[in-house]
Amino acid sequence: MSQAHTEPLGKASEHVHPEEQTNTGIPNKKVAMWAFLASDCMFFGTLISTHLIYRKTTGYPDVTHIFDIELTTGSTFILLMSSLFMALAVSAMHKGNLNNARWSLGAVILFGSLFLGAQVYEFHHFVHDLGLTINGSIFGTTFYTLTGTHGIHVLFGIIWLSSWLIYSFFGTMKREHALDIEVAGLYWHFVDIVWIIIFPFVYLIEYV
Amino acid sequence: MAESIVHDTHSSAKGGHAGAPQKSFFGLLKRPGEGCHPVIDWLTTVDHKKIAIMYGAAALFFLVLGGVEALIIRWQLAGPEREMISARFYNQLFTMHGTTMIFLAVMPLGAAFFNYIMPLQIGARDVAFPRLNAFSLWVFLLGGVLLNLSWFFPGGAPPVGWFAYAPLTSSTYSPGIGTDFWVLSLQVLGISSLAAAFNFIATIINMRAPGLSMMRLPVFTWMTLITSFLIILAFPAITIALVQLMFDRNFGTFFFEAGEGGRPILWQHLFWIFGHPEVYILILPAMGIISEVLPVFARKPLFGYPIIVFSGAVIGVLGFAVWSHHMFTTGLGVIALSAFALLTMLIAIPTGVKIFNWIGTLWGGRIRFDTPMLFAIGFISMFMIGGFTGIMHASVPVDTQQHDTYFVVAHFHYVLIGGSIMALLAGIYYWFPKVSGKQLSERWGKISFWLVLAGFNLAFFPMHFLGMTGMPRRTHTYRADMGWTEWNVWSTVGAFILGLGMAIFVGQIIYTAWKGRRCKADPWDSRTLEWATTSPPQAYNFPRTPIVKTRDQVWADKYDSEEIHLEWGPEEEHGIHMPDRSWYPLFAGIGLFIFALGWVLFKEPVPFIPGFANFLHLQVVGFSLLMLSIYLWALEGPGGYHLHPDKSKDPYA
Amino acid sequence: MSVTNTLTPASRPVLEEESRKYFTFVNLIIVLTAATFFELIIIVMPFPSLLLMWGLIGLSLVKFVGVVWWFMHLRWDQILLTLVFLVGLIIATGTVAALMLLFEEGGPEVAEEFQV
Repeated sequence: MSQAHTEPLGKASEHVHPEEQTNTGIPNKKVAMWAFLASDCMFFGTLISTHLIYRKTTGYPDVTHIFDIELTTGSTFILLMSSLFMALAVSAMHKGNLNNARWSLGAVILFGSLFLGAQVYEFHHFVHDLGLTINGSIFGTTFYTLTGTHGIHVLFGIIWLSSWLIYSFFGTMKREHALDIEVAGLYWHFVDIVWIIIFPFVYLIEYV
Repeated sequence: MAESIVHDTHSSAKGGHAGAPQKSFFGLLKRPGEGCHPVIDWLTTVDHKKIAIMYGAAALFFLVLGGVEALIIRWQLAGPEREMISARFYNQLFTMHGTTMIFLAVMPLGAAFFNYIMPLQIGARDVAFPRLNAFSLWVFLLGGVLLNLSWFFPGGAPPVGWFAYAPLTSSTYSPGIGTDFWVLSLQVLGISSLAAAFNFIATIINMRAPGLSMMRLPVFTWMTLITSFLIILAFPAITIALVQLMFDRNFGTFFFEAGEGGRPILWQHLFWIFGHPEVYILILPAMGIISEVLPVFARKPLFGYPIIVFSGAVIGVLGFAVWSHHMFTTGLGVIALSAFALLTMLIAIPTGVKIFNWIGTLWGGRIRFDTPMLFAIGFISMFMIGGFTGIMHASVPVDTQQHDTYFVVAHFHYVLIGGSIMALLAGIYYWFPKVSGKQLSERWGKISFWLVLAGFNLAFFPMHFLGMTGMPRRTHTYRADMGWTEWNVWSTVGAFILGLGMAIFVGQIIYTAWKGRRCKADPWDSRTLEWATTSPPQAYNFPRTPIVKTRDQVWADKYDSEEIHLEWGPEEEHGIHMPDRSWYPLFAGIGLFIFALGWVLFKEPVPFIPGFANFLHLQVVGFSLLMLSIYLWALEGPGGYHLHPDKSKDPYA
Repeated sequence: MSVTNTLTPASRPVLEEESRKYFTFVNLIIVLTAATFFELIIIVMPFPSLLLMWGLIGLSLVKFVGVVWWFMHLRWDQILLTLVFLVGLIIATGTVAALMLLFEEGGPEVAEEFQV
């Protein structure tokens, strides 16, 4: 997989393979990731539509007593913070500051795990204390499928970034891996913007 | 191997960017090098040309399989009240015929051309992510295997139709695991298409030869790009719909359970949000092939190149705004009906523009009627008939009358056989010398063409009449007094003639690949960049980087002034950098296959092995293999070695 | 295995640009947080529900654009990436909107039950 570099790497004697220069100057991985995110818009678009369609056509009873909106606002904030640290990690990689990048990555993973923990707690609470199950009502069906799919995206992002964090301790992480971190970061930010949509249109909308 | 190989040790020693580790992580599996056993070579290859050949061979196999299924259907319908096959088997046959033809024959044949021709047309050495490309191939193959495995399980293949409308697919009405096979194999095939599409998008945007601007791209490459965008935007909808259906069947959710607040109609929407762009995923590559073949055999540049490209893009965008015309009889309401009817009619404009441009290309040309040209002209005329009935369906009252009759069957076979398959055959006859260095026999090619054309029209034109007189599609049999017998007999005769034509074509391919004579590198006097190298191309495609000066570069080299001739970049002193072979795409594909199989068998008791209550273990094994392969894949890196072209073999070196 | 910093330090202009980004990012997160609390606050206000809906749409749009434009670097990247993403975003948004409208029309019994 080729990567284009805006500036020469390492030693000047190294030759750059022609297939690593791209027409646009944008690395292939980044183009592919943006195309993936475009595709993922459609993915979550379909899921969110399903939830909203059933919300309006079945007229299910008031669910505000189920939600714990303070908790959800908290986890929204946590996910936003993780996005900040993700952006800082990418920035640090571009600066060539591995230590800084490592701490930032650690923070992203920590906040991501907190978010996931909050979601696990939320699901556990809904199922065991409130009896809201995925096969108990249409609300449970669409709610768990949508937020669960988002949670799996978060989990996958945590695994991806943790792999880089571990990898960075083997002394093999180099400047050109800034691109890989950046691509992972794009994914992470996207997961964040999906939550930016889910928070008002799945949770807050019930209070309107 | 004659080429000398230098291993890319210098870059790994210096921690270079060519991808650091040369051998597999932990030394678990050595990456096969140049000169490995041919079987291992094909299993681990990352070469887009070998991948394309495997795509093509598998697609032809599935084309024959789907064709046999169609012939059994026609045999059953050859007379009234026949009981040749049971109604249930009949349902399974048309479901499998549709699914096989769309997902396992036409789409992968298109993918085979994308893989083989597109990188050559843009002057690239390979696609952007060679190992991901191999992954797409294996996932497609195993997805096809998964779908057809359903025949061998109790209950057999899915009997739910290729669009599998809810609530027929619920566990109440379709308790057998055939439907689970259908759901999971489509999911797997979707992953394959998506991975391939991301790859092609990155390749076309980023890896064009110097001087090859977007508006100099061959039209086929443009259509590859547009089709890839359609794939990445259409497939997520069916992915979600299939997940919802799987949850309904396996976990008792209520997505499509009307009694619990679910709405079966939602399945139709989600399916056609995918399904209509899918139609253009099938036809746009065909239009690209036609736009390549016509100028070559008319010996004229393509008429209105920018308009053809733009029309393709407009078709692609509009394709996302017309899905509900498949659902005109579901009670959408007047506003929705009018809007979707209008948008559907709009699509006729860019399509018509394209057809006029093709006719303009032919106009005044010195036309040679070789086999590819015959198929291309066959495409234009047959596709137009399918297009006309398509516009008829855009009108709501007409569509209401024709909905679910044989008229619809006639329409989509005219666009899919008369359209896609004709164009793909034109492409196969046209590019076969490029792929194999051998030319298919003109005489047998022409015999095949006339049989296909005559058989096809005899089989499908009467279906218009049958539909008009009310014969419903998917009917197992019909009564003698309905007056449908005569046309059905003709249709069956036509289907067998079509089958004979296709059999000759497939036989010809196998015979020529095996025993055919060598031909010139450029037997058709062609125009685009893929002909500026040997036939078949060497592993590295082009020994030096081509520097493109104009559209139709190879034509300009032969017939135009010196200053717009193709130039070649400098020879690469270290040799040509080639990506290493890898085992992990194959292993990741197998992992995904096992994982999907585990989901299919989710509710089945495990036979023979006491102590295992369900197939959860299969899912764990499959998922672990998938994740392990992905990790090792990432850790081994793209790798690479250097190849020095052998000047005695490659005159372009 | 080493824990040393193996990255080569970047050149001055890169360092300066990245340092400027730091402040941009911190400003952005303040805006995002504020927008989130606004969302939370307006839903308990006695505004008409249509206004609230548009308020929610507007605020989430602000957050969406903020993350995409600055955190995801589109501001500093080539326009091509924005276009690729926009193709998906526009088609997805259009599909969601069309589905909402289709199901609004989907029969009288449904229309009566529907309350925002």
